[in-house]
Amino acid sequence: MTFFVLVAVAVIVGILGSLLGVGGGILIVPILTLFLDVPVKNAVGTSLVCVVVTSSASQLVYVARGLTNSRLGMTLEVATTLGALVGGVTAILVSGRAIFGVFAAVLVYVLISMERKPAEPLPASPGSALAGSFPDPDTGRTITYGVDHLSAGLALSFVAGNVSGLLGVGGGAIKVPVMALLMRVPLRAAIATSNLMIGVTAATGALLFFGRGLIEPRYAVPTALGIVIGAQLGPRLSSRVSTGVLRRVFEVLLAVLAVQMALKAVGI
Amino acid sequence: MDDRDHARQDGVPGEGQAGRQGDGERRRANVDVVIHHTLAAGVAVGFVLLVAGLALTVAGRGGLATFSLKAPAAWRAALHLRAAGFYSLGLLVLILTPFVRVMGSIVAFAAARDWRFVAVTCAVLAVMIASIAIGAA
Repeated sequence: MTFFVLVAVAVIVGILGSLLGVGGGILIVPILTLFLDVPVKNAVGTSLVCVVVTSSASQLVYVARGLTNSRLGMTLEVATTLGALVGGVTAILVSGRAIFGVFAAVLVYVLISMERKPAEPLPASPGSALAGSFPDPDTGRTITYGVDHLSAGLALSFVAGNVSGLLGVGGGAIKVPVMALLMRVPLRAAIATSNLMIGVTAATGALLFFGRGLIEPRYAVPTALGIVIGAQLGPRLSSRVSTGVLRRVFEVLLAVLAVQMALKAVGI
Repeated sequence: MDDRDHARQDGVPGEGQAGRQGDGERRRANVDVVIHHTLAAGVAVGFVLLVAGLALTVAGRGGLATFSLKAPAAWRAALHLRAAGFYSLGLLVLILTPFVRVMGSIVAFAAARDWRFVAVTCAVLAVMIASIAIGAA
């Protein structure tokens, strides 16, 4: 029975993730721990697998559309994978209640950052190795952009990787605002590039968890299968559902989960 | 229809348009093609292995375990048609797909003689390998 519940939950998470440009981890960990009584470290391991799958499935679309900036992604990924490695080791060592507390704080941060508007894209300077371009699906024009504040972006990417390894989330909720607000990368390219990065980051953490036996097939298999199905369904449903309504539903869901995770952190 | 539209229709970025693109664009497209094929293969193989595991469970060849098998044990179990082997291999393939994608990117950047990004991507790969080493320790 739990198998089918997990598949159904993962399908919904996969659809939401692919429509809103977020990884599934931010929902999978609270759902597994709060409603299915999965130990938090096993939930983190399962979630990392889901984030890898979400990233790989979504990148098939993003790369084909030319939205992913591979050079920028790999540059930031140096800091992010280091952060994920440190976070993964920390997650194995710290108590479950500490993880619940940090998770609640990150959920609140994600809620706040979703309301912020992205900065104007930076024009590309000639010869810039990290500059990118993509065809805007709305206007058909090619948008060319540069990258600002690389050092600060690298530092915050380390933090995003750390959060990912510690909590089993992709860290996209941190990476997208960092790229769109601070580094002035256009939002579409920021989401696609973040999506490339979350797969690499989560895989780093997942390898660590797999080696430690913290990825249980009884949870990971149904959720991975559901995520693959959901990530395929999401883009097909995008023309039939309002992204604004979905966004509000997602925000309410995040707020409820944040409160419940905070209560778990203080032992209630 | 421009190059990008053509690529989008094919579902593979940048193939067959090299003549009309600048060097930088062509190199970027080559990297993207490598990434795209790696991802498609990884997701498909991982998904098929997990579904095969489910089929074996239905056939009474073992259930969903509470622990993953390490690669050699998973391989042996799969050869004996045990579901646990297929589940662990499927999960491993899915987890390793971004890892292979990073290695593919190194090859693609090297083919484009983009040595700066060969070095950057090698650094990412080094941290991922450190992760495996720590996980196995």
